Amino acid sequence: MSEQMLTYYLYLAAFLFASGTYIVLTRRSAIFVLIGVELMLNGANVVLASFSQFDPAMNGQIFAIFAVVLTVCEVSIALAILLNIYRKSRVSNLDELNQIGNT
Amino acid sequence: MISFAFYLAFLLIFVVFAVYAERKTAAFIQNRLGPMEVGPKGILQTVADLLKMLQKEDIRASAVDIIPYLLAPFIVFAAVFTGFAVLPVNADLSGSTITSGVFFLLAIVSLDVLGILMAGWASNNKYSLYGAMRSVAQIISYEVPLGLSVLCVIIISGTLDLHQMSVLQSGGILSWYIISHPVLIIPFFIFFISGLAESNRTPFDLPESESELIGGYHTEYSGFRWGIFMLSEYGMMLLLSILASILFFGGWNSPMEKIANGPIWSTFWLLSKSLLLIFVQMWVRWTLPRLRVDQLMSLSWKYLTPISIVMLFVCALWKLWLIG
Amino acid sequence: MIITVQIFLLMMVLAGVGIILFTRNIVHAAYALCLTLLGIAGVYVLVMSELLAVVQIMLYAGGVVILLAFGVMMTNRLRGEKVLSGSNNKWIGRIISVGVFAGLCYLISISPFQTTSVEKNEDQIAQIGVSFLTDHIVAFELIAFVLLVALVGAAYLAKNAADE
Repeated sequence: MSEQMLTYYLYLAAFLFASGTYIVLTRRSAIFVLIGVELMLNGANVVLASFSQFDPAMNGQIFAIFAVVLTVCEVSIALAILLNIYRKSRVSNLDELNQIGNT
Repeated sequence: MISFAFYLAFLLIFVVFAVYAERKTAAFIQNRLGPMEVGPKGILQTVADLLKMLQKEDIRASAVDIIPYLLAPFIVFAAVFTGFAVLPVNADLSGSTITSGVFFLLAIVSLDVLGILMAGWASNNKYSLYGAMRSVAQIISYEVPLGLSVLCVIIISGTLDLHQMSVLQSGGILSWYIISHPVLIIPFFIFFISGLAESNRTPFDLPESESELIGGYHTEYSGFRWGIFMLSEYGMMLLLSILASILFFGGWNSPMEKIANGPIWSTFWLLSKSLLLIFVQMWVRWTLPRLRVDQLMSLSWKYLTPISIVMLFVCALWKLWLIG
Repeated sequence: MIITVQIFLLMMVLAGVGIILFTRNIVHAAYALCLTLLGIAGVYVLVMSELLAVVQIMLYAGGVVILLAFGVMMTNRLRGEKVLSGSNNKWIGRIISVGVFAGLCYLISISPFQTTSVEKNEDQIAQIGVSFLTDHIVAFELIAFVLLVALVGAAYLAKNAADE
């Protein structure tokens, strides 16, 4: 694995992160925003994994595995909350979610 | 690569005979004759059915979501068949030598849920969607006890590689894991029951229960695309049976030490063990009635999962006792 | 040989991200996310992180994507609503994300990386397992706790939703 190859993977990670940012910033639907967050996290994981191959202790890979597990928790909780909001107020677009309390 | 090509050819031939065997088993259990017309004892009936199926019109309803609709059967089949990549055939022909062998298999096979969900959603049909939802809920729930029972074997063998696992069980019927480590008997039954549920077989065939949902997620499919769904269902059966025979019944090892050990014999042993398990699956199918949805979920979450967690603990203690 | 694999994986990732960026259909976006994630799992294999790749397939492609698609279907399709969704603030989003991409690329291009060759570890999974229970034991236990909390929390939230 040369330095050149390493930078290609880092460019890929940057691309994933930037497209995740775009989706999080522009999309209206909450599920689209979650997809964007997943892309950003994956960009970060690609960086961790591609540096981990030069580390005999593989700390990057272990960190990335923890990150993946935490993401699964995050998505399941987020979807449960979304489902609750949807059942209560029939809203799945984030713009329309502008009230707080028992409305 | 060779083992992959071997399994592709074997799967296609297997499906033709398995459908025939399934109908004959059903007929035997229900005390009737089954297919008798085409060929001697009706042995060519499936070939005739296959030819009929291939000639059928490929019907597409106008309201389907076309790209997922066309892709779904192939995703299901690809996900199931990729699992065959890590299976060994005999002592000289191991599968792909990735170190995470059986873990990879379980991971990639779980992707067939995606194809099923795609099929159900893209069909734009209420029954398809309900069938797909049931199927996804069922497959994801039963993956938990399936994975935990595989983990019991991994604790005892200390390796994830299926080829290595078969090598460890060489030396006659007494060194097969289910005999040499009797704690694995309960995990085997859990594995078998969850395997039935994973491949959507009766008594867990709620996704396609024809009396309630017409045909489940493949209601809108006809001809060749429907055939691919059937092919992947039988592929899943075969995959889980081969996996069970590798994990619990010694893989390609002959039951007698030093007798019948050549490459052809060991392939024969592996395949005959798996075909025996497939016969048991067919036997179960024609004996037991279908479960209700709530019974299905409570079987997985209230019985199989807790029991397999306890068995995981017991297997760990057994391993500790064995090594010192 | 390896360059073919790399180009194939790059195409998978780019196609997936492209579909997510341009489609308005949430379910298509979830499937495209799965394509991207499988491509990234391939990248992990190329950078010698095999266990991470399998975890990615199992948890992300098999878990997260199913959850997302399921979420869409639970909220929209069973009630016959559209699964299309629009976007806001397009220009601000484009400017910021292109800025982020350019900034990251600039940083990558000026950083002097020095790679050392590490001998390939044969039994990577065993080593990771050992370091989970030695060096990273606190994180490992905390993850187990967080998973329990997430399980209970999701079940509680879903129960509330079912009661309404």
